[in-house]
Amino acid sequence: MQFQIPCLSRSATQPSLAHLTVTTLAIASLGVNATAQRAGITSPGSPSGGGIGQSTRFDNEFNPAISLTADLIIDYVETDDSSEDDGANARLSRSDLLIADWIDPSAFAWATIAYEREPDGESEFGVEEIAIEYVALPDNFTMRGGRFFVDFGKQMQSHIEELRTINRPLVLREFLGEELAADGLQLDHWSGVGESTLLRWSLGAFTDLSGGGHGHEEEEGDIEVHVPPRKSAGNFGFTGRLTGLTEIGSNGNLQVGLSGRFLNDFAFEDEANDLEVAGQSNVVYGLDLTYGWVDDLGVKNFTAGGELLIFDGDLSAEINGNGTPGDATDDFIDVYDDAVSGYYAYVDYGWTSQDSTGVQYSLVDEPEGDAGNVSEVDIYYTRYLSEFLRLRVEATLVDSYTGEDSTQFAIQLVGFIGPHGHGLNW
Amino acid sequence: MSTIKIARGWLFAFALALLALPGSAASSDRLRVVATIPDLGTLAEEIGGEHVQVRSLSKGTENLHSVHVRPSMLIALSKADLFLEMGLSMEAAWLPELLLKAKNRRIEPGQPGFQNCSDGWKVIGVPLNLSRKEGDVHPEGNPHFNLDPEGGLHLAAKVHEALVRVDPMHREAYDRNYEAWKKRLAERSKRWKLIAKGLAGKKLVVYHSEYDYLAQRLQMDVIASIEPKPGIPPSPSDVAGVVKKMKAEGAKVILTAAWSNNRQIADIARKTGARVVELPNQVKGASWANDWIDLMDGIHTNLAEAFELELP
Repeated sequence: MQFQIPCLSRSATQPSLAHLTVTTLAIASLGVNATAQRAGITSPGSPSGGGIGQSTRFDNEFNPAISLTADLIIDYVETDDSSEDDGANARLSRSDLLIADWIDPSAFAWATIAYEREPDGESEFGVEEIAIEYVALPDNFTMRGGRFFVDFGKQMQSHIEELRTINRPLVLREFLGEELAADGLQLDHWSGVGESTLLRWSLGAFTDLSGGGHGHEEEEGDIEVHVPPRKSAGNFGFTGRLTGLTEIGSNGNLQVGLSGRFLNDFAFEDEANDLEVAGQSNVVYGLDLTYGWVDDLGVKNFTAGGELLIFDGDLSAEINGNGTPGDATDDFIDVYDDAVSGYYAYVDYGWTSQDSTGVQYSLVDEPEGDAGNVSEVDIYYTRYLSEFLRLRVEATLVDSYTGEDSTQFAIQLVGFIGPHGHGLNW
Repeated sequence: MSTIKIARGWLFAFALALLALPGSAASSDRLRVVATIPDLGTLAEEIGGEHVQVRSLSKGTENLHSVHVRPSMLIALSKADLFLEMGLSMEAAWLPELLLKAKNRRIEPGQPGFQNCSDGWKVIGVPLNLSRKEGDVHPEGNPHFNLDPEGGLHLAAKVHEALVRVDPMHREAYDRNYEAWKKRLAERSKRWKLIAKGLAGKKLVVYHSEYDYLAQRLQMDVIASIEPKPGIPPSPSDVAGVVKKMKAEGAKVILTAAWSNNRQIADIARKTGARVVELPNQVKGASWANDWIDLMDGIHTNLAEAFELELP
């Protein structure tokens, strides 16, 4: 029975108190109607929220922007051991409902409500992000608070359907989780160095950075990660990122970044057998490098990049039976305190504004007791049927030290309904 | 957990904070003007003269709906005293996030340093039904009015107005330069009017709707758009429909921008014997399009040659 950190089994349907508080605040901020189930006429001393603004709950003029994504996947999987994972499957893999608007001139808020369905039929539905970004700080500082994707590397800030491959790169899934949304605060700052180089950094403090968030998989076995809901400030989880983006020639951009994710003060526990190992911690370091080139017409483009990650500390745990089969009283938890590494690298070429293809390779040392590597190769072709509808054909080959190799052929169709923004990914 | 492990996290955070160097602010006596496209940038240079320092964000060669964002754009916006945009959502795909990150109060909408140059322009192509079923439509209407032969005068007036508003100390110079520009425009546009007489009623096909203002002003007859809807690539049946219509109506010219001059256009040209005319859609989009007057001059020349008119 083993458990590795990023794919914790804390249920996404049991949000923390901080999460609920922030959720309530952010929903209230998105529009008066969100909290409009109060008396229509207020009297002195009633919690009216002020005597200005609108009193009607039926006006739509100030409703927030709403958009929806639908990620449909048809795939066929073949494994070496002919397991039940073999065969074809068609599913609505994921759908995100995004609500966003300005609260006032100094802050905006957004919420992402996500539905996800695994090939085995298991589905999840919940609030994935809900956060407020305060932009009225001096200089180029911004602060965000709530539940949101942490700032790590080049891909963890994005939803899965926005990525260049159907799944997040293997090393990110293994060390950080499929998605890493967390409750906390993040301070962000950028500055210009000269006329063509940007330097950006962020620091985040989070109640729980143990990974997974929405959509993580339950692990086998009884060991779970427990993160205390209240703690001293020093025992929060922290993230940090420092990145530089500069221009190379008249058509190229080069970016280098350093990231860190620190998970402090958590415990491995087996509730059934009343076992616990507290005071655990681990850290993921990341180094990313990306080069992008676009021709003068903005049509042909080439991107190459990658990230190297080191996962250090208390990585995983398993129950040690201590030599007495069937007797759990002398069992204890073995923790693997180790350092493992992994990386992914890719090249991507677009020859029209609608067509692009690429290959991505990821290799990871498994953060478990058994030493071994798993590699994953993705080969993909993407066609934008329009700006709002994207078709992708992808083959994924997994080679595992356990011998559980697999091949997946997938067709993905992603549609974007409503507002569709292009953020700065840096 | 060991104290060392806790300290490691804080140490990393502190190191990152130390590395947050403040940006270097370039000092300049000249007004820092940032324009989204070279059409506006070159107008600002001509009217502003020695009193302005101008940066155009787009190169002039690319599709305006997908400009490649670069670090220097954000830095320029963060320092700008005056910002000039076309508006009508022309820059909607890449500009709003830059403006948000730039955090420059001087150029926020409503501030003196913000100028939407479509203000007061009579817009065409305002969608009756605002739905993505109609493609990548612009809610406020067709934004490509920089390609209207009368669009330059409107843009120049807006640039002049903005310069005077932000920097009234140099009003005299701006007025003088603006009048000189209008005089040059009046001289060159005489030739355009002669060419326009020959182009009136001529039939043509376009790929995208960026030349609608131009065709309307020249009273040309756009019989078909190869894109079935804005931003929607044509299917083989769309292409076949265009070929059929061109043959039926005798259209012999296809107008396209460089970024959309693709195999489908070549295919249609081969099947119909039509001539493909590749025109820039911004200043700097061709070697001869040095400023807006040159752009419009070159467009008229290219059209006259495509329809085999005698050049005045």
